[in-house]
Amino acid sequence: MTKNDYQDKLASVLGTCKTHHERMMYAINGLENVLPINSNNLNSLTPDQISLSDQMIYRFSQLQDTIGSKLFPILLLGLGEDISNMPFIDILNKLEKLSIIDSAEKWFALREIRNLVSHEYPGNEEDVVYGLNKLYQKSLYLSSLLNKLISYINQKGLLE
Amino acid sequence: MRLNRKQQEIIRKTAIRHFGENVVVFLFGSRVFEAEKGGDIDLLLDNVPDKSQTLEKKINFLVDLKKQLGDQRIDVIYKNWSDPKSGFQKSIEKTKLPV
Repeated sequence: MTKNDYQDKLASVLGTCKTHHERMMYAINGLENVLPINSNNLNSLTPDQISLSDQMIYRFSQLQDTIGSKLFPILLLGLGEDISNMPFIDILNKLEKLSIIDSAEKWFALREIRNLVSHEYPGNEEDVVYGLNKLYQKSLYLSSLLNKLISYINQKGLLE
Repeated sequence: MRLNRKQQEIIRKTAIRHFGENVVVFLFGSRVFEAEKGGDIDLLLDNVPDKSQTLEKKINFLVDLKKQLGDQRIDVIYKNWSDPKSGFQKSIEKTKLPV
């Protein structure tokens, strides 16, 4: 892959992440009066707030997936790592070594939350409350992680 | 079933740690059949008290399990039916194997 091809690809992946991030944060901001949620206000959400919570779940899910499956590998590629056939756990371990993520385990927990909340929502009331609050809390983590990744990419000059 | 003895032991012990010693774990889905290949690990948890059948406990259980078994697709459902009603539940009951 030429340097130009690499930079086009990285810019495109970053653009996708930024779009998901922007729309996830828009949803969170629109829900600031009800988050964290409890069983009382869960039942009095307006149709608009319900749409925003669906948007938060969807964009969180897409952002988490794009960072894990696209941004992590392409970042390592830019740092000269041979990622072909590298198991995902090794990618995470390398990122942990570079202090980009706190721990591989924390990333797995994030993915589990995403899988269960996006697949099983709506479940019973207690699970919906737990799932939405957990997702809200993790959205903020995901947001700070994306910013950290962008700073790292700039610092390493991968787009220059 | 296509789970070795070590994997079964890890699943059993982890389930007990998260859901108490009365939990009974069954395998269902494609991993039950020796002739098939690959596939998710589908687990049915029986005898879990109603109050413990939560999303939070399921997430913690899955993270713990994957830490030990490696990164792979594992699906977990709680058994909360006495008589299977749906086709899905009936097919689980028909083919499930204790882990």
